Amino acid sequence: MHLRTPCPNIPSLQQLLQGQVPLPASEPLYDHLSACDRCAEYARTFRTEDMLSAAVRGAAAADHPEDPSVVDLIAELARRGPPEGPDDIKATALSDTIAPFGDSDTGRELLNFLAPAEGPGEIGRLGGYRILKILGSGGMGVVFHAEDPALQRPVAVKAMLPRMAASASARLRFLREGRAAASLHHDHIVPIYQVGEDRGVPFLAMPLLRGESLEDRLKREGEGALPPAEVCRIGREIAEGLAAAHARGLVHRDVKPANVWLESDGESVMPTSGRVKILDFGLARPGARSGFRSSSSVPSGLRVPATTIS
Amino acid sequence: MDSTSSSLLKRLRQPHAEEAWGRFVRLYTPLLFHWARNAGLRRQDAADLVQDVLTLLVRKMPQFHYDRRKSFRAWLRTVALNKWREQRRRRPPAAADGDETLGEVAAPDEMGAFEETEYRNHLVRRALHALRGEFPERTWEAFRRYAVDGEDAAAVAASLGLHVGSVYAAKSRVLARLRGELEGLLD
Repeated sequence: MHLRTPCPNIPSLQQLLQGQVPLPASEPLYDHLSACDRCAEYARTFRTEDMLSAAVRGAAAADHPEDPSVVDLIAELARRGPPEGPDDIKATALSDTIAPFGDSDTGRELLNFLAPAEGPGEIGRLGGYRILKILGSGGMGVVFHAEDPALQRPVAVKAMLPRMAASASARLRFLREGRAAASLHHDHIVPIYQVGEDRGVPFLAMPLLRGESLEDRLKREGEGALPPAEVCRIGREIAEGLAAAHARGLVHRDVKPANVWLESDGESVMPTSGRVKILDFGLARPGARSGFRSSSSVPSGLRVPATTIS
Repeated sequence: MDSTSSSLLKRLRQPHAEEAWGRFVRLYTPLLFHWARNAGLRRQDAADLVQDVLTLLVRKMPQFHYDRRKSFRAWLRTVALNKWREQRRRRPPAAADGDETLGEVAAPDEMGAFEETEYRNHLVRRALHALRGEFPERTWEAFRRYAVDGEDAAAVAASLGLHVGSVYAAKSRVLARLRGELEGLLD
């Protein structure tokens, strides 16, 4: 008993006939075409005028046995194997990048999960982004200065280390961070461009922010040296950002000066007042019980019931 | 990504690309060698040119990929021409050598090999040789007779004992495979 699938629509059939439908989607379409009078009739009258069909027709001409010296040359070149390479892309960028991280094994661990560099200035690729250099690394992951090649826009890419990503729950947590932050749209929360996984490596892409963290600002100016008006403004902006998150049922759980970015716009050398952008929803949980925790401690006693979110 | 589903250009950019290199050599050696000979080089120099060009292309492949506006065909032509000029400077044509005609200094007369249609025909011809073994005999037969030799599809179907739709499907399958393999190389 032959099961008939419906005929594909005309545009799909045209694409199929020109070999533009890839496997495996095309397989059932081929099965259909090989038994369908109607589609075959359409194919009979359809002239494929794309350059590949023309080249196939043209390929028949002058197909003579190959010159023996060419045959030998081919064998010899194939035998020698591909040249090593690509040269001159990786060398400079890699050593500059690993050096600040001292121990080269650590440096390499941070880089060896990247896909190969494809152009000048890159140290590798991740999720289609051009990875240019390491900005910093923490317990779970590493943050890169990168570029979106299509938009030619600078981005920060935060990636999870493969040995961390081996744990399914850790991966889920990382991706949850991205989704949590991506669901928030507020002036004082850093936007997320993309959440994804590349060859098993989870990553987030966000804007590359100019300016400095509140932690750096305090170090630079000295705690207690900030003018009261500034302290109020920053505090207010943090509260506004967090309120927006709370309104969506998300609690940050790790608000500390290092996670409060002060964005500077324009080309000013020293930002006088930077707009607050809250970073790193790495520990965010929907509806969690706890509030702030101290900046110096690692969360240990703070546990919340695991919740599954889709 | 397994080798049957990734384009040749992509496979050439991976490490340990022996298979891809072999295919690349098979696709481009005849074009380059015959061109070099027609452009006045001796056999050994033409062979050296082929090796130099293919090696350079593979080495610079990542930069080429990065600059998406470039045409592979145009790039190939540029590299081949530069290598030809190098050969020429190294060994100017000897007037007494019966094998040679006194070639151009700037460029050989014979650049037709890199012209769009001729280039594509050549590339597809070589690719068809390379990919033939991937298809069942009857599929290939149907494809060759209909799409290459231009026989009427119904006649091919009748003689092979197939529904005529299978003949169109055969052509489509081979075209799809060609597209996948030669992605980025045909422009």
